[in-house]
Amino acid sequence: MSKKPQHFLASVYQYLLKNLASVYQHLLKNLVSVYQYLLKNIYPLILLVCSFAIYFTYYGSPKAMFWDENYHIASAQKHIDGVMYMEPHPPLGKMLMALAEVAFGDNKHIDKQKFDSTDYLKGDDVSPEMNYTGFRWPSVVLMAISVLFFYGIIRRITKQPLIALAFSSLIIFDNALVVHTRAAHLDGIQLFFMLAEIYCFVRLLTSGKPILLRHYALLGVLIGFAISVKATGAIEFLLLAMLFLVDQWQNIKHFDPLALAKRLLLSVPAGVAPAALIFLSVFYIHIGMGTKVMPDRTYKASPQYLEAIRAGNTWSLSTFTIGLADNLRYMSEYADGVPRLDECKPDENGSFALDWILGKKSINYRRDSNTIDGQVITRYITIVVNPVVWFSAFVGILFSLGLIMSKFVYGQQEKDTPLFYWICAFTSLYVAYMLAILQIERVMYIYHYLIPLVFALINLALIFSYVYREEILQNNRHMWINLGIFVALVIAVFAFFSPLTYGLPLNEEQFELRNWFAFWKLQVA
Amino acid sequence: MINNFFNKNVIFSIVLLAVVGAIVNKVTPPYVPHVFNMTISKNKTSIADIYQSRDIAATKTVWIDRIDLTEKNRFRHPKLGDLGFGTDFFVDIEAPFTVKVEGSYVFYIGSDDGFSFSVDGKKICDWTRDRPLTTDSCHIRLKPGEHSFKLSYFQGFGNSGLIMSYANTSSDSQYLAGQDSKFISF
Repeated sequence: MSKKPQHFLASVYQYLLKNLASVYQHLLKNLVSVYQYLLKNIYPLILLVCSFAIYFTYYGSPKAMFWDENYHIASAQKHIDGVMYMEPHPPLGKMLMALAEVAFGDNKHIDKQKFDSTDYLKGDDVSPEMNYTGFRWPSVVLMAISVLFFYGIIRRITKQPLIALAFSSLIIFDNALVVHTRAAHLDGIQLFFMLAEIYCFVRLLTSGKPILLRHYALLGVLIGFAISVKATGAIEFLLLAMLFLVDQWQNIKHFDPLALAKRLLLSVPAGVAPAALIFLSVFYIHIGMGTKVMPDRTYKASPQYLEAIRAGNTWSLSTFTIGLADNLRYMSEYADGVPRLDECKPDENGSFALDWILGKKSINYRRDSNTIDGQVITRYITIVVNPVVWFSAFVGILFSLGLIMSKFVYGQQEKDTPLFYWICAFTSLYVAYMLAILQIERVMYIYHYLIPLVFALINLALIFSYVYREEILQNNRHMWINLGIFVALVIAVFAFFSPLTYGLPLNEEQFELRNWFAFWKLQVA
Repeated sequence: MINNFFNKNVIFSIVLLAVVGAIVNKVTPPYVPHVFNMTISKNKTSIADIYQSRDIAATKTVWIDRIDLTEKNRFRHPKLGDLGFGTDFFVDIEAPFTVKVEGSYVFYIGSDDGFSFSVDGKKICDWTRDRPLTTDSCHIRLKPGEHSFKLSYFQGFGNSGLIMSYANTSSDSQYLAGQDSKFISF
């Protein structure tokens, strides 16, 4: 009798103990998965918030056009008004600007008739009431979102979310990237598609699944979008070649030319055809939408094309064929007509491709001076680099070249083979772009370096992960502190140069404090 | 021991420290001893003569240590950088100085473009119009004690620059204005 309650209590205790343990285990398991979920998603969220904060600060300012906006806004408006035009760049970027202007623009009360009768808008052509948020929207938003692709690329390759988070700050806090892409320019839109391609490429190769023809097609589609914004996006056709190399690595190693040729015959059309299809589709829409010809603005279009437009036959395939040929001829003739670099010209804005590496030369996009109490105060919109970002990117390339040479010239064994080949891939993209650019005879500008800069920044994260592989695996505190200081430096230097990025007022002394290197050729008002 | 100390993390820390040092050096405004208070005035119209009437649009004052503003053929201080307005500006420097040894002194004034130089209110020499950087010798006999000078300068267009030095005729040494010697202190 007396043992019964004790027995009962013991059973209850054991029952609770057993279940509490399972509840505890369940809770612990959930906590771990919640933590892992947060870790996986909180970093991209932090980056997205930072990126939007940087790109949307003073969004819409200056309330005036600068640099190529004078061209692109005029072209985008022609899409809205259904006016035929031709341009040196493919039309997708301007189409997106037009779409955003229709959706978000606040210019319904503005007379924009002048936009259709010129390719280059002067200040007098535009009402002071004009709002630029619509036209700038695609570049700003897509560039702000691009950081997610950047993060994803590094995270998937290194499998280190914190490393990806740290190095993603470089693409957010670069003054040159921010000033150039928070405008109605094409480069932000193009970089979005290019980073999407690279992310897609990295995802395909890190998923562990076999590479199928539809993967070539997917990559081709994204390349198609990038080259439909700017032709320089064609550099990423190299990704298709790299995909093929990985796909056929066994056949290459065992030298099976028949298998290689068979795969090549299938994979080349699988990758190139979607790219071509997207490119042609963009032009089809562009040509179809151009239903009006403005007086004296025929862009040397052929009589057949002009006749088809006047007949209202712009969506037919025959018009498309003629229109495409005319557009491509115009692009080619325009490129031939662009002057060469002339560094002796006092107002030359262009620069030599190899000089871009260190930020030469800056371009003063716009400046508005005011004299307040006898002191000249100027608002500059200037493309000037964040030197910590650009110099580090270049150092990363030097390290990579050294590493590659150590393997292929000196026969050193790499310590992390997959990471080594990723470094090879991004260094190759960088070198290939620079070599291609060096073949171009026309004048080029520092912002043409934004694409290889992105390659170099991804490479920097990878070479860092390679060099500090053991420290990362050991969670070495000294390494993390160093990396934290590096990121803090990037942000601090961005903030220091931000008056030139956002057009904040500076007096001459404040401007001179930012004139760090004579070779940047920053010019005071 | 040394190998253990100089690991990758330490090297990265040293590099970061060097970068921080370089950045601090770049963002710290340059400082020179306050010897001459120089007034620089941007003229609204073009300047062709040092004595023409002034129509000032903007003025700024800058402390400099020496009158040696000829770097890179511009009105530029070796430490402070460009100081002028580019084109069409006047510069005025008025400052006391102490003569320690009585004697004949030569003030060498190099200017691109014109200048006017006076001591104790008396004009000693000038070049009224524009010219490339050329040096004039301005002679004066000075007694020991407190004196003052006024140097006015203008830049029209093109290259610019202003430099002033002095010497006692009994000595072979020449000193920049602002540089103390056994003859003169500023």
